[in-house]
Amino acid sequence: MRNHLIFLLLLLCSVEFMGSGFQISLQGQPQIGMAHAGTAVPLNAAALFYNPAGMGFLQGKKLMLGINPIYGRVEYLQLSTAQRGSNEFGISLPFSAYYTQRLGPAGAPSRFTVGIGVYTPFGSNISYPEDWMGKFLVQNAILTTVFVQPTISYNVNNRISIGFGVVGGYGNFKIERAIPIYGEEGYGTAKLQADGTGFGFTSGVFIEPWEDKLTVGVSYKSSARVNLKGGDAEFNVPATADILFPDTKFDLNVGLPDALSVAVAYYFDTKNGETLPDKSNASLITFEVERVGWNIFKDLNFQYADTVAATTSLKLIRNYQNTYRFSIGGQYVAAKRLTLRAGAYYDLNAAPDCCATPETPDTKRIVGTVGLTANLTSRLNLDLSFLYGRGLERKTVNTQNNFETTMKGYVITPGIGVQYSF
Amino acid sequence: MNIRYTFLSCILCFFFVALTNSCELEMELPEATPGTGNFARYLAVGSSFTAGYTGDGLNLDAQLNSYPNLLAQQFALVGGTDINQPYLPEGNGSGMYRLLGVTTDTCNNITPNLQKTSPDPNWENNVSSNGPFHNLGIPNLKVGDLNNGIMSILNGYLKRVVPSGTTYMELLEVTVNEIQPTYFTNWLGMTDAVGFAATGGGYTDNTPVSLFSLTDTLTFAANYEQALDLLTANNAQGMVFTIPKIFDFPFFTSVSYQAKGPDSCDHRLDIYITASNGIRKATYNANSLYNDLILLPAGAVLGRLDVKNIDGVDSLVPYGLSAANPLLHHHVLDRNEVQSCVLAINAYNRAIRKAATMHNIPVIDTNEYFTTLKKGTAYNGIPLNMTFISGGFFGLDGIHPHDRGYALLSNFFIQKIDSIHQATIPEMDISRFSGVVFQ
Repeated sequence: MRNHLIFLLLLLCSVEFMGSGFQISLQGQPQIGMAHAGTAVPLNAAALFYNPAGMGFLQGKKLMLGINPIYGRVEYLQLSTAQRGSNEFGISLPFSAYYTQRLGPAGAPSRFTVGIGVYTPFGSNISYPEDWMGKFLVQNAILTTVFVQPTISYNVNNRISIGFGVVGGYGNFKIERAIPIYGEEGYGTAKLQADGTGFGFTSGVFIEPWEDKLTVGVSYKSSARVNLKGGDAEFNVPATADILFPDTKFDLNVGLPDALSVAVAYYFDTKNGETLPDKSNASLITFEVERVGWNIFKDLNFQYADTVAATTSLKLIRNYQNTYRFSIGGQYVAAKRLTLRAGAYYDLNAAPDCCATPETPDTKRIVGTVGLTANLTSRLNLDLSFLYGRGLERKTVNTQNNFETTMKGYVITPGIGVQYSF
Repeated sequence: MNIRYTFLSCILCFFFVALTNSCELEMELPEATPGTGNFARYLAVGSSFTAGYTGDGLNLDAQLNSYPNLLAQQFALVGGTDINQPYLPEGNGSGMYRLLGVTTDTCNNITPNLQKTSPDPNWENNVSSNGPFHNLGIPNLKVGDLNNGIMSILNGYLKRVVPSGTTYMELLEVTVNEIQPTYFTNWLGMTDAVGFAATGGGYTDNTPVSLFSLTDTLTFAANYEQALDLLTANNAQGMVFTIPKIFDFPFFTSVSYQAKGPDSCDHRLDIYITASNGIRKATYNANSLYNDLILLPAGAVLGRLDVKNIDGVDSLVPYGLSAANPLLHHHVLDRNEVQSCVLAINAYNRAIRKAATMHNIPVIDTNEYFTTLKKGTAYNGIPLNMTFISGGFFGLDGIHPHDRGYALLSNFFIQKIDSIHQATIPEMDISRFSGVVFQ
């Protein structure tokens, strides 16, 4: 029944739509099912992302894989000119893969757990009809990031652990927009694309002040600067204007935000007696607040290698502001082999009214999530999650472009993953 | 068990919300309303800006992009009707500039390569039988000449729309009676200032031409008031526009008072001009209200080598770069002429305001728009400023807007109308208009 519902929803309305800035918090289906509240619960190998200290409560070796296709739709209305616009069908496919392993022999495990994760923490993939009203801001924008994160955690004692990881990131972006240089054939276009790398770290603390009843987690993921060097700028303009728009190279430096998460989880009595260290067999409820330091994202400042239209740079002002996400989530162990989850969160917009652009549609959001884990065998778990988010109506005027719109949107993200323990 | 039911109902509730909500994104569009305005029958009077003049000429495409026609399209959403204009036959019309490309020099100076199309041989053919016309914008017609019958012979644009000997004022009276306008716009007066300024103070070469002289203030005030009497005779609503600070337009700002030297980008050469008080170097003083302005057409011929007879010897002398071959009078508006023109514009605007106040008609200060444009603005991602060619507003003659410029002006007027009449007339999508077109 559930699968039918999901399928029906996807048929009805599919595209893609992002949230706070261009952050994707889709890591680990169980955590997604609880509204991304994973900082205080060391459920599985995705703890490496949510709170590396949580890794200290994972036993043995764990492998976790997951994908979360994002479908979203955003509608725009420009009141002054009575025009409408919306994005075109598109899917982006964030994925994640985590591996953790407790060091030492199985009989006498050490206090160290190591792990590595490969995941896509930021991204955006949006396209609009070629001739839409915002074409001089953006026609297509694709941002892909892949982070690799080797991580280690240390159990100070049975109730406290700490963790630290190093993050190496690769980023690739492409943006296409119309430029108001007209020939007989109409307006011109600009295509800017580049890739680059950056580095950061992640860290966390996990405490269990009340054994098997209450856990607290704090994690901090550092900001990162991605240096995009030697990107390609291609301009398609009328031949007689070519001399003003030479194809050229550009450099760009993009700041990615830091994130501070604080969470607490309360556990109900477990059915099967003893609560596992990773809490995966306990019914629980968890609250989490996350602050994302989006104010690092001030502008996109393209520095051209040649003179383009009598200038050598293009500065797109963004002036993002820090955002807060408030999550509540829980899981219920319905049967020995079945765990159900649900959650909801409220998230603020990163783009201020002055600087919102259709590149990354951004509104306050209310999001609901559900999920389940089925223990197929004692070692293999199947995880499903489903997220539905509603972007609240928002009127903005981008002052640099004098682009006025009222927008709202929704996002639908099913997710599937597997966990293997050995 | 409680937790079980809570969970199951949460999940069911979630799917219910997701299913019922997922596709409802449609946002209500407020209805277009005329407010207290009556736009049923619209009449526009004015000069070149009102006709749709651009690239130093007029053709059918330009007429279709005139701000009165654009406004009428938006008025049609709130009870207005289509308007009739004195359309030229399809083709080059009176001849207009085209942009064939640009050249850049070693100092990154960009020079447009402009070419004027030849006028259609029959463009001045009389079309008065196609009237009445809702757009009485006649290029190059001064308020000072509204009662001057000879203009129906001298001014090709007026000649097209009236029987020989008829004055503009007579045309206006007949048109008002035929159309019975409920709403009018009046942008008369532009030519009284621009005609003088764009000809270097009323010159062809070095010969004064009275047709381009500044209108005396009393004649302007009397004629303007008479036109407004006619427009408001049937209690029509409307608005009048002032004359903006034209000296910010690219026609007057694009060419520097100094020329680029042959050897380096920093080396500047003096420009010699024929000023009202004789031949001298052009000067610029940041603290002065009035400075010498080298006009746009001079830019293309500056430095051209002309044969001049100096002390009985023929020699090649660069145009404008030597006292022996100064810029002709019509290529420069010297500071005294700028001053006369600014003072005249101020006086004209006082006359406009006075007449409008007497008739209880709102005055729209067009400087409000041009001040914003000068600072630099944008519209749906199109950058806009007062720069020649690349500024996104002015057409190829440096004085008149191109199609996008006229659409932007129309949007500015619509904002004013909306606020005066508490109307909600939608603005136009500016990206429909191409602006400067590279051929």
